Amino acid sequence: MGDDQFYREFILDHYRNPRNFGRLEGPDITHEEYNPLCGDLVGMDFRLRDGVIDEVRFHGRGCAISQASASLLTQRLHGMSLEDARSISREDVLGELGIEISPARLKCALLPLKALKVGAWGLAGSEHDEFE
Amino acid sequence: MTGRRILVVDDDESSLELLIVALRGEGYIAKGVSDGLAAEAEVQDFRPDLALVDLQLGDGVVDGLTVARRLRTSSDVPLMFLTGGGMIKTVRLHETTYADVPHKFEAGTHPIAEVIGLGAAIDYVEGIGLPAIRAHDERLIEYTYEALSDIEGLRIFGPPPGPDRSGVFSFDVAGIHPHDMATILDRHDVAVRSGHNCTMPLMERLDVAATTRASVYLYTDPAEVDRLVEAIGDAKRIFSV
Repeated sequence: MGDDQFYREFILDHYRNPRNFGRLEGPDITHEEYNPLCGDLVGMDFRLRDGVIDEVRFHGRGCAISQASASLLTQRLHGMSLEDARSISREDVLGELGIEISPARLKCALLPLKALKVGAWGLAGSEHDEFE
Repeated sequence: MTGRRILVVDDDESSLELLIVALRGEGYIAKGVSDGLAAEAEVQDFRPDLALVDLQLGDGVVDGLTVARRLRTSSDVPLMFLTGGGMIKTVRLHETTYADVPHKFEAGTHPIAEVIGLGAAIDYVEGIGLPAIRAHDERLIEYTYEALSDIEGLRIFGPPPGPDRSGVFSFDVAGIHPHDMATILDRHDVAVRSGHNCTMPLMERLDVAATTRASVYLYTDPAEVDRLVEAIGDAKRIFSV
């Protein structure tokens, strides 16, 4: 049925063994995003050094897609300048997941990116809608 | 809806002609009659699926309501009144005064297709009969409940088969988020709903983030329940639970 391809092993691995999972004490940036439709929650904590993301942790709960997407995003962000992080697009995130995400699951996949962007830059309005 | 027959009763010739043209354009077989007194005979003759009757028939002999009452005694054709307009009090060059609610919100085309569709749905259900539907539902509820109960790690919410159990099965499988479950079931062509199902306080009470919800009814057969069970098994295999 192709489920094995959808729930590829590395996604299930990130779901079961999330990287950079937990909280930071006294983070420079912290923000939680919640999807009331499904109850998915993703929070991001960042510590910065000279404009670079020195430490990043995420916490939350939800489906395999949202949690694996958060885990993958923290890996990408670690050591990245905040300026470069700003240009991460939804296509980048979906490309990294590498699976075809149905419209109903887009929010799950993009919730971590929304947590980053709203948390770091307070993006709202039309830019915010990009993640809806 | 194309091919359905609609009789229009309106004494305003231009309105009548416009409606007939518009309805035919939509694929209906439409016929017009401008004389309210002729409507009854026309219903017997033309056998419409729906009669549209101008409420304000102005010929001074009968009004639309009287025509409707007469039709009711001799036929069970669905009736709809054409009231038209009615949403404004005055329109001037630079200002408009709207009618009071609810009238100002009720302009425009009446839900013709919906009225005919509702009639067809009622005919369908009555053709099968409510006792037959209930008997089918009860068999399926029992079958589904037993099949789901046999799945390890699966929790069914709600009572066992009996007067308080409907064909709506909310369930949760430990270790698989309902949205992941729904995605996998969808790939087996099993359509379910997942999430808090508009019952967030209940989710809190049950201490679950969400549930998966499968429903059985008249159009479900046991083989489809088997497919659901098989698909849940596949989800468990993928998530190793």
